Amino acid sequence: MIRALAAAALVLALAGCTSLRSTVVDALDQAVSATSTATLAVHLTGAGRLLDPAADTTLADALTELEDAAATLVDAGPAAPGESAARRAALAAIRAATDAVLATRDDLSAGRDLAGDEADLRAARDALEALAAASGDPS
Amino acid sequence: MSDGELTSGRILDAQLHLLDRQVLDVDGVPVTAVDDLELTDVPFGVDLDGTPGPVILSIVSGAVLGTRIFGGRAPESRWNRIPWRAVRRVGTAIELTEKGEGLEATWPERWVRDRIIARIPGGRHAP
Amino acid sequence: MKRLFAVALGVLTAIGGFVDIGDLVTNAVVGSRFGMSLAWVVVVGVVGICLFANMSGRVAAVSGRATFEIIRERLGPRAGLANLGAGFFINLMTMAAEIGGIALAVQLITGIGPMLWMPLAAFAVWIVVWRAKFSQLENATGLLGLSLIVFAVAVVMLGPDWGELARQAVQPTVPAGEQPATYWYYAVALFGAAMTPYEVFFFSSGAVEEGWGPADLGTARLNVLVGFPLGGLLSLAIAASAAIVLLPQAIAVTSLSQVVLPVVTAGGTVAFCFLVVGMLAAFFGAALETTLSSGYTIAQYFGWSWGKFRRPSAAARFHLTMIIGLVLALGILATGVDPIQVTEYSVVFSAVALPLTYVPILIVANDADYMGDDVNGRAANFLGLVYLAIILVAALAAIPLMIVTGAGA
Repeated sequence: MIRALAAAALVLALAGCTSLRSTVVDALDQAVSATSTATLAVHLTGAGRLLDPAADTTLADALTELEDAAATLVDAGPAAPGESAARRAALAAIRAATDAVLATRDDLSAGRDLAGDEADLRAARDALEALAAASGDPS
Repeated sequence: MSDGELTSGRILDAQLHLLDRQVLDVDGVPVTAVDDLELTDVPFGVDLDGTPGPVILSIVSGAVLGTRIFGGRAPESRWNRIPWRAVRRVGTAIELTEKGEGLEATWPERWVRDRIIARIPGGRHAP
Repeated sequence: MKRLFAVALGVLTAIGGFVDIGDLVTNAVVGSRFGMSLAWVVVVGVVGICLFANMSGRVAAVSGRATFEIIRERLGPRAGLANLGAGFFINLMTMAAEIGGIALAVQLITGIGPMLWMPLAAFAVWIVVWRAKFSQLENATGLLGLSLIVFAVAVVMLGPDWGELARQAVQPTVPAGEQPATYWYYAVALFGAAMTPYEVFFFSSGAVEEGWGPADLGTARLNVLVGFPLGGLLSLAIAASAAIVLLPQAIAVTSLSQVVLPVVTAGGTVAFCFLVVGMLAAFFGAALETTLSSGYTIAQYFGWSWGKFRRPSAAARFHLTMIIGLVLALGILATGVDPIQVTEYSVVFSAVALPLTYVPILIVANDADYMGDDVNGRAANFLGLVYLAIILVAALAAIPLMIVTGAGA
């Protein structure tokens, strides 16, 4: 019984020991996934393949994911010296991506052309990917 | 079960063949599971040699299930009994000679039916 | 001719009924993150569910006793009650996931948030359970669910590198950027999704509902042995579509809207319409099955009158249980929890609880008191024991893997 408890405690401790570094990478990966999804949805909408309600739902889900990614970073606690810059950069990139998705959603509901939005989304995505690559190989 | 059945050669293990088995009425409608069995008393404090073995009086259901699982003893007023003489056959289910409708053990079913289910539109119609 | 029609119908509904929200989401998540490298788990799971459904259907047809009557009888009231609690809880999670899935699918066509649709979906499920015939509801949802074949069509239309997909499937490796523990966590989830216990409650109770005798076993076996593997192929197509379109763009599936994108990429609006119909039918069918299973398990444990073939007033507590179950499932969804997350947890907990239903069925399938001459043969018992080992390993590994990986994050 005691041995089982000790093993459980060890497992929990190991699970808790994720460094901030991997938190940043995880958040960036999540944001890349969300922004890629939005880009793909907008591309398909522009090509007349995806219906508006489905596109809107996809963008809403992407926003939820981006919020979640930002919250992970915000809730991560104080950063070690040298890591706070990486975290600020990641947060800024995630917020830029969030802005791009929000603008796209507005344009979609207003029936405006989405070509510009698609370019913005791609740029936001590339920025996130570059940061993720710079923050070290995904663990 | 009666002595007659015992001598007829079929040996039933109460734990294995009776307890927790499904009880069906004469039309094959489920009535209850065998939550417990009520046996005749064995005389207390006398030499058991020569006294007849206990005999099953009834199948019991209801609150006794809770006391069988968690211990304690339910008041006898809350035992829902099916008299053993109503049993026709013991197979993978226990079949009765009566309709379930008149049995004490089905009162919760009748209560739920009359108070709730039958009052919802369509509740009495076949699907 | 009529018999041929019945067999064809049975096979088709088994295919359409195989995929539910658990299979759909888990396969899409796995495809988008691990490519086809977990395809072997789907194969293992499909063989397992064929074996398990076949065994429980045979027990029900020969003995006339459904799964939970047997579980209580063999395990006694105490272990039976613990089993019932676990089974009912997981079933409830699955119910919530399916109803939530219906709402998410409706959101895809209307653009209106899912909260509005959940009570409506639950009410629709109840009305059908209350009024429709068992065979009608099984056939309608099964046949409409066949439109999910659009996933297979999409995979072909996408024109993938078949050699690469096959290589991933045949020589599985953990992709770069994913932990081995996460790989195994999703292996357990995929196994749980393929072998969902409610399908077994439903299958064995359905055998009693439709009054199967030993003579019907051949047809039932055919339905299972042909229908489920084809359903498994559908699961693989879902994973493949995600692996082809989403994986290269680093999209990890976390929502239903992402599952749709590969199909839309391939087939546009027409494919989208087929997909939504298929998803609605599959989720609705599974919501019906889980709702009925909630009634089946409890009524069978306590020995109450149950069954869709009876008037609701002739199975009053059975119907009351299902109403309470639906209300509880709605309660879970009303907390605002993401139905996709409920789905992901439900398939893992399904894997945890699998031995609880599997072991009693395996024991009774060997009990001549119940089965007469139809006890398991040597081959069935050998496979049965192999799967017992697999099921136990998956069940024991599930919770530790969940903790270590942070539920697959």
